[in-house]
Amino acid sequence: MAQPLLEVSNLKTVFHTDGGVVNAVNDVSFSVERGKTVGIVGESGCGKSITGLSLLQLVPNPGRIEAGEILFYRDDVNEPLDITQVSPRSELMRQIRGNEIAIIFQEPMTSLNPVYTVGDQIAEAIMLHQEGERSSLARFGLQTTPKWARERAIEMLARVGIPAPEQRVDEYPHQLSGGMRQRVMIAIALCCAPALLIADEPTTALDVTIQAQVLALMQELQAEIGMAIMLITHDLGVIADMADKVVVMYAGRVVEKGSVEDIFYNPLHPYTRGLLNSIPTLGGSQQKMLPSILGTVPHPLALPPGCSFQPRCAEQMPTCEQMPELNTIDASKNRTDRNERHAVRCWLCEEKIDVETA
Amino acid sequence: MSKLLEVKDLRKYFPTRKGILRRTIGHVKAVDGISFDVERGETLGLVGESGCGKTTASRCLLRLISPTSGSFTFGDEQVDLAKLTPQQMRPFRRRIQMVFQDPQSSLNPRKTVGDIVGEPLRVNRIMKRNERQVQIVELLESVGLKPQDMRRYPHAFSGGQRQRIGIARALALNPELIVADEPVSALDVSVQAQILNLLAELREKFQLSYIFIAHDLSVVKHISDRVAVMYLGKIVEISDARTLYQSPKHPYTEALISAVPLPDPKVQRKRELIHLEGDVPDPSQPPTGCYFHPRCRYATDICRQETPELHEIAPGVKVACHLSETLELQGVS
Repeated sequence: MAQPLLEVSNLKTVFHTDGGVVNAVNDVSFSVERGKTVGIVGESGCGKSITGLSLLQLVPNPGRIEAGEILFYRDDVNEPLDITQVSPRSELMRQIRGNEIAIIFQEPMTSLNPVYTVGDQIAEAIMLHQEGERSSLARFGLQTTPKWARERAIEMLARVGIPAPEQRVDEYPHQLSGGMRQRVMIAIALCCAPALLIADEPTTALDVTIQAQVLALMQELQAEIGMAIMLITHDLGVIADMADKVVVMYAGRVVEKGSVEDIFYNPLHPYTRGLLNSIPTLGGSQQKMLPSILGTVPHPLALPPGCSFQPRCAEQMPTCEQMPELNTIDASKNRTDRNERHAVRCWLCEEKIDVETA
Repeated sequence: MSKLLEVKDLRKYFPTRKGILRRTIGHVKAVDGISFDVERGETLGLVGESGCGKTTASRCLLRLISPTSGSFTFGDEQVDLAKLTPQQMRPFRRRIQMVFQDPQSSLNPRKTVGDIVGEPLRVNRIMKRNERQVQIVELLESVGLKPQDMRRYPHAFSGGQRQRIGIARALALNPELIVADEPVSALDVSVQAQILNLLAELREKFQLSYIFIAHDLSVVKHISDRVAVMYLGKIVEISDARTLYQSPKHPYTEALISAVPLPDPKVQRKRELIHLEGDVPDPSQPPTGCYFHPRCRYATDICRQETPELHEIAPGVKVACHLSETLELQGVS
């Protein structure tokens, strides 16, 4: 049984806006095991990115974590730390961010600072976390990067596969291509050997061949450092390639979760099935029409009653007006690890279980 | 089937300038001699990585930018659009329309949907105002929107619906050819499928031909009859969609197909992946010989010295590779 690194239970992140209350992340539970990859899938607005930001206490205003627990099992501490209880601005949170849990974002151009060289940006993370000491001069950018940090930065660039790192270290982000920039982001994220890497759409802005390079690099470094990855994406192909476990989100809630085999070979929620069917495939014969999901994602301020997917669901029934629970599937009840069980939030499967147990 | 469009040796070079006098010091060969044709009722997919010139090529075809050289003959009249003056081009503009990638920025936020969709009709003075209203309603209905939507503004619509508005606008003048530049890449998966279905349905209904530009190979495969693969301004392979994916003939096509992760964990993890090293070279300083040779795992001496021409190796299959006869490349079945 893999050791849990992070256990999220009943997380609820809420945005109080002028128009009303948006439950961006609503009662979300999942766990991340050491060295494993968890994929979070969903369409835009389903709350997958906010889930990632919540883990780092980086939820933008006016968002707040209102309920739930994020238990983080740190390396040297026996008791897990509940991140929701840590103040976002505290020294402890700063130590965790970047050092123990790192994050990379979709668009590397906007996450890198255009006026600093990539070497300085990698060195900044190293100096902040590795030596502890932060001189006041460095804070105002008056101190140049010390030699040892620069050398570490070059080492990191070489490790993420950037050719001629000694030259690249002094270049600015605009001088690099998209794939190179994402490699720099990965170098920054990994320079402190974090226990968990949150990758929020890390390859969406990249070309397929570059995407393949970056994904391979992430897998390689994962095996080397033994870190866990939480991979947030809408691309089911990337999930199939990388993930051990998958969490499918819709309108802020988990609608289905399970092992990668459960989700791809035995999808139970109509939304998961719809998603899988609606992607055009590379192989096989050409179909005339793609089975698509009708309609669009509901507005977060005007969610339908009951199951949020109900208005778009082909198998909708009167019971769907009530919110179904996220229930473990009968067939996976015997799995030793509670966290690995296949669970789904749908009345259809509820009936299935009832029939089987009766 | 008859030819609707025949492109021959289309080139677009952008000058790079330097110094106070802005002297031209070189050229970026964005599109470097591409030839293809589009049959009536056919969809031609154009794939390639960013910077390969697929968008530039499409803009040349619409004469949004003037090509450096080359010809493209259009329609039954066999008119070479590349040589027309802007004035002469006007009647042809009605017959070739474009759908853009980002429905957010290609719709005027201060106009109602009715005005946006009706604008082509108004500008071309095709109908009187009241006739126009009827036509707009019909257009909106054909793309799956409601008649009352014509009084709303673009911001009130979701991404997928906005793309429907963009498609309705492109259909307004009853064109023969629609150039769709990444029409679904900004959309969510479930909505993407809806728009792809809509495009396929409209193709049947209005007997349209498409040039479908995208970087997503699976989307291109789904919608296209034939596919052209571009790399650094050149077409490296062109053939019918099935053959291209099942047995690619150019190493770049093989690598592209291999790089797309398949949504099937067991298959995907067993696949032997070909990882291309490095990035696409700078188009202002392309490599010698075959442009792909620095990243090609099969490259030999001849590849470094001589530029391969696009030649036909089987009926309907053209490839620009010196080794196309000897290589056994893997595709997806």
